[in-house]
Amino acid sequence: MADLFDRFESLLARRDSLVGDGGHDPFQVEMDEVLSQTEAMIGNRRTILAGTNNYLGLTFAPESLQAAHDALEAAGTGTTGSRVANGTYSGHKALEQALCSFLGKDHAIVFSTGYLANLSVLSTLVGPDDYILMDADCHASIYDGVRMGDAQIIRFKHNDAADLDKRLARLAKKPGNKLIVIEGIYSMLGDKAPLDDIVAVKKKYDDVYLLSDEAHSLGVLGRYGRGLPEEADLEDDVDFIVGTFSKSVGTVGGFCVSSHPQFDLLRLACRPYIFTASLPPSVVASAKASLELVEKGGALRKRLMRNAERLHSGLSALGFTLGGEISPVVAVVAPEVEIGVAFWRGLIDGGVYVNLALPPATPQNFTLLRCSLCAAHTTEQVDRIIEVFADVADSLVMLPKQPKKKVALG
Amino acid sequence: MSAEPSDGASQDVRAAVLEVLQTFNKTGVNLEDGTRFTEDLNFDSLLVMEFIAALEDRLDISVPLNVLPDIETVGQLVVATEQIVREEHG
Ligand SMILES: Cc1ncc(COP(=O)(O)O)c(C=O)c1O
Repeated sequence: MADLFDRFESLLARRDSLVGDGGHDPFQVEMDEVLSQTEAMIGNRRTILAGTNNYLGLTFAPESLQAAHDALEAAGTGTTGSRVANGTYSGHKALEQALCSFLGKDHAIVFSTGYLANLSVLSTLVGPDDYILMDADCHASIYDGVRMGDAQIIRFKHNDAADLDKRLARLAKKPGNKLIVIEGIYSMLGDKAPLDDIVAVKKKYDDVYLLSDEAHSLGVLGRYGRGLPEEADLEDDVDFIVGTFSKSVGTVGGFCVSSHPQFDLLRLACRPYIFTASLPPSVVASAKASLELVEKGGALRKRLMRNAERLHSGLSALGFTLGGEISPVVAVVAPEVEIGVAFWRGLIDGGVYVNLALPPATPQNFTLLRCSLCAAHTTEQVDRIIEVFADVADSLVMLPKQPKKKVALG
Repeated sequence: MSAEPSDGASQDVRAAVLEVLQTFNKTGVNLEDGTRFTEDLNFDSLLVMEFIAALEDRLDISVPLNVLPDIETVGQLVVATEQIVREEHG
């Protein structure tokens, strides 16, 4: 008889061939104890965390901890339901107001995660007669969100405004709204969207809106951390900004902001807003406190970029192939999946934790050792990361079974 | 309703689809109308995306992702592509 789980056979086979030898599994890492923003105990080893998305290091910010404590005491451990069915707490409103004033938009809706923010907005904002034009390298939550909706889904080549232009031109005669979807910083390679070119293309046509997912750029780009639109001085040209609290803001949750006068109608239409529990008071309070720190975080951003530059130049000096421009995401391209896994294990044995990213979740089918930096990394920690990368590259050359692969990560 | 395409135009689209598909045909099976992407050509989701992108380039069209779930065979893709070419260039 067929077992229900037989359909996962190929998934299982792939996993077994990659990590089924009993070695450390990159996808089941257990942090036995989190020591700080930049260190954890992983299997009895003090490990430098270089794959957290905790860009500003706010997970232990005293102001945010205190705000969370206070809210926990005052309003309890959870809301036990959605805002539509079970009510909005004062914290939710205050957080939405804080987002509006921080990002300079008239309306904000907070969702339970960034993933749900994308599902919500992308599945309801556009209908069957409309078109989504999304960058091909967009995050899975964007793919899932557009698939949940009824609009026609068209992908344009990654960061290619000319390709977007071509596709919009072919749609120009057709009725229906067009929504361009991009990200500020792309999560895997850390490259930025060419926002000025995209806005220029957008302006050539009628009924075109622009949504940017600032998941990785909020807190990172712009003088005040408002992301790529601030850095590019194009905030009024981005109609919808989606973001998450799970990266620079250091907690969990998602949001969308817009100055469209009817934006709040989405609360009545988004199923992932209506049918899931709202964020608990402590999370809401720490998100609000952290947003203030993000806005005031110029010094943190400087430290973050200094760390990014140091890691980027250190690794490229060693001869590694890096995925993108200098950004807090530093992605090392491995020549093949098996080397990626072996390399990841070498790093973890050397006390450095990064993310292993494999196709199909990666652009251009890259196998990536994806590092993300934190403002709280010390120079010594960054140097240590570089040193361990160098050691592992050396040791992989000596792997007897792979004498030819000594280009390691050339 | 747009006019029926001339045989010439639809022959061109068919030829272009087959030409692009041949570069993705790792199993070496004969490409016929009934050839199935998953079963006969071993396409996975990633390969589908790459193939569609190549087809878009070749014909200068946009293939909405929405049409993909309904396409199982080469013949179905040819028909869908002809319609898109008609809409976008006709
Ligand atoms: C671009 C992008 N959008 C959305 C998300 C989802 O955010 P969250 O972790 O809040 O669900 C992520 C990260 O996971 C992301 O990288």
